[in-house]
Amino acid sequence: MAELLVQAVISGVLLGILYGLIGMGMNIIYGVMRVVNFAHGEFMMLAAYLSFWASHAHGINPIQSLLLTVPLFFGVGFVLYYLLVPRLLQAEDPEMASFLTFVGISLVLTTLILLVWGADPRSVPFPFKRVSVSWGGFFFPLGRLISAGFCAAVILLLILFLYRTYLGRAIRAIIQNREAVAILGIDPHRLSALSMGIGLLLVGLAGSLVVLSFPAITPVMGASYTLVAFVVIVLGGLGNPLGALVGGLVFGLAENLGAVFFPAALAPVIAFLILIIMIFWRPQGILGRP
Amino acid sequence: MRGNSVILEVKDISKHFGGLTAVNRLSFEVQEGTVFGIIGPNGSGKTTSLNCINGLFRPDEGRIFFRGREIQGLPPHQVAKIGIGRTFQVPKIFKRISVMENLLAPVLSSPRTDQELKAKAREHLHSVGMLEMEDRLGEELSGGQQKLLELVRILMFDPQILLLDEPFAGVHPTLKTLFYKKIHELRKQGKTFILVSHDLTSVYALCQQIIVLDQGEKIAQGRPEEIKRNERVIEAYLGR
Amino acid sequence: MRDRKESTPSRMAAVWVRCGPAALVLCAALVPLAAPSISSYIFYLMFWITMASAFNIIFGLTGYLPFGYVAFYGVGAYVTAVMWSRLGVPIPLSILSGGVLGVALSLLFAPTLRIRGIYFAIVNFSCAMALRILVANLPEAWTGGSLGISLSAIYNPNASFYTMMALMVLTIWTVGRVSGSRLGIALRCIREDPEAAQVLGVDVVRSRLKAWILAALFPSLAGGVEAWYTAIIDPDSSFNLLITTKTIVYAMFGGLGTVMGPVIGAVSLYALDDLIWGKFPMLNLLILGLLIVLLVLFLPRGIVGTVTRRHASLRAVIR
Repeated sequence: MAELLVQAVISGVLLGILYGLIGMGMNIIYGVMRVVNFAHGEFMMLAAYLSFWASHAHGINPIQSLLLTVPLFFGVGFVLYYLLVPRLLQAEDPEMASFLTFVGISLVLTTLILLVWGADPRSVPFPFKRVSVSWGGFFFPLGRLISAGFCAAVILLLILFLYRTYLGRAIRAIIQNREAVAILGIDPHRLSALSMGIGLLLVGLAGSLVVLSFPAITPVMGASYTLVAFVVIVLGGLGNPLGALVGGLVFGLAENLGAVFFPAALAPVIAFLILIIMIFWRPQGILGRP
Repeated sequence: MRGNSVILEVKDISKHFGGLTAVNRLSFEVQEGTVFGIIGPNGSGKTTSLNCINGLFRPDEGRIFFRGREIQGLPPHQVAKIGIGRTFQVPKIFKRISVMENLLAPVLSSPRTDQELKAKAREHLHSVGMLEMEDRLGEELSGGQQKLLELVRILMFDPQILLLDEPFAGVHPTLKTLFYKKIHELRKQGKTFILVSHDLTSVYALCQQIIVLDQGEKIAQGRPEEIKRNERVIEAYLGR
Repeated sequence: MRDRKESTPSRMAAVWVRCGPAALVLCAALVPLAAPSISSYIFYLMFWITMASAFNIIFGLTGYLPFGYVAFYGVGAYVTAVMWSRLGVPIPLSILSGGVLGVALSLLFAPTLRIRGIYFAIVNFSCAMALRILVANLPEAWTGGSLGISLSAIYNPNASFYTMMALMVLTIWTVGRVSGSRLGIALRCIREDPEAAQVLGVDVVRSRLKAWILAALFPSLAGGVEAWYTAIIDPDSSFNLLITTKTIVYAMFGGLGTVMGPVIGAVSLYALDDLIWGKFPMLNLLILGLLIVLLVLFLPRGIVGTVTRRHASLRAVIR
């Protein structure tokens, strides 16, 4: 039993870092623009399928495919911003309008994936020789270890960017106070487009890396990752980029420890329960101040 | 006839936000049937005081009496029910419903029939020259008309005191005259006003008593001619 | 009452608005007898009109978006099927108990009305998904597991057709009554500005709850009637998120917050949906997705809302 628990903790932490990255992408977009990206998971699946395609057709492994997905998704975010967001912000209820728009986009993306790759599950071949490394009697799945390492490095870079650079500070300023940017003398559109680009870049990264942890992908998996992103940012606090990491770790642990005690079919209920309880109990998140 | 009884008494109220003090130990009394002015530079606590009176904020300290009854901490809809109406600096008109429905909103629980209420609403619209507009949507009115609508909307529930927050800001001079007329008329009917405004000419013309706030504190009180000559007031407005 | 002269277009519209729907309902009533080949199409048209109109009570009038709206439909379908097949309750009573349980569910969810905006939408969505997993994992003796429940022994397309028709008429009538009533005004005020509504003495909590209960009742009943019509239910189709999405799109296309809007939206889009669905099911989802985006960006008030905004004279007629 104890061994099972330790194994669940290892798994939970490794996945939690990935979840944190997924949540951070959504959190930056929401924090800066008050746009709720309901298509977050579908964008992620798109990146996962691109990595599948790269591996399948050209023998490029998922990590190498980051060179493709990361710049591509950054560009997509930029374009998407100018195409949609300024108009959405003029709506009577911008938050609802953006939510519904991205519900529509999620349907479009799912269908596109279905049309291109079909409905059957696809599997990305594991690029490494060893499946896991053992240390002190415990097993660390290599795919998850590597993906967690990448995610941790990206999170670190993101934190450095947000706290040490001028643009990063400006992004944090706009999250806290939308009027502040006018004072800083930065074009809020450029800054928002940049944030949208970063948000999608993170989701593209997560999508390419997720196949190292869960090699089998289907077109309809997106919704569950959107849910993960919601749970993570509700745990960590909306609009708080650092909170997403905490939220990701908490959720990763809850999910994996929960799987030890509850039947597998009920596992998704854990996510829903966390979401509902958090929104009632601490809508500002674990770290947030009321 | 009037000027003898105190209708509203504010006693030592304070309101803090985090480390900031928005209102500090503020006290004043308002006589029934008068127009009471609150002036002061930006951020001096004028709107916060109104929010404390009508229940949007609960003052951290101090007490507020309406006809001798303590009202601080009551929720806004109860403060409305006992007879205190309130308008906002940026008028809170319901934009996507008609002018008539805007006017019916405060009297939805009234036992009177829809016909009676609509007749009353039309009377009020007529008195501000907006009778033709009952089917317009709130968003189709000009800024000044929205302010007038907000004023007659609170008249629908016949409040004893009307708290007006910047009623003249951005209002066309013609409509301003209409506002003046309306306030005079209502005063004759025995209504009491608390007027918060930047427009000193209007405040001097309409008010019997004025208090001046600066950084949340009352720095002067008196009749218009006393306030005009008060050096601390001039300093507060020009000195910084 | 109104002594102002009405313009010709608005008088014509008034005639249309009064006589048109009655004539249409009459025509539809003849369908199972005269043109049975399209009766399934008309049944589902009436079903979507009911769903979109009921959804309008909560999203259109109060601005709360229950993204897990399908839960009420699913619960109605399941309660009806379980009551009839496991407990032997006659089908009309089974459908009514589906409605009662739907309302009970709305009362259970009522505390979520305290939260607003996107949080409400997400929490409601989560509740619906949790419910789906719960239903799929209940003992098979009760809910039939992932295979669902068959009602083929009481399959009766005509009776269920006319029941759906009655439900549709009842729903539209209720929306019309609520929209013109004091409750309707209170709800719209809450949608526009809850704080201002409160300052004016509107009882926000109670008005909102009434709308929520009404919005839950009709889809729960519709779920039961549809289960009777198709004579089979399973968790995947009873809790399919696309039902929420289509309901939103139909209501939005016609015009949220108006009585006729969801009806017009369902009539115009269901035709399109049916046409494409039969031939290219995948394209259908793509179009649905694009339609949502385009609606939000370019026609947020829908057909009715946009028309009455341009032509104020029509407001008294088309509501």
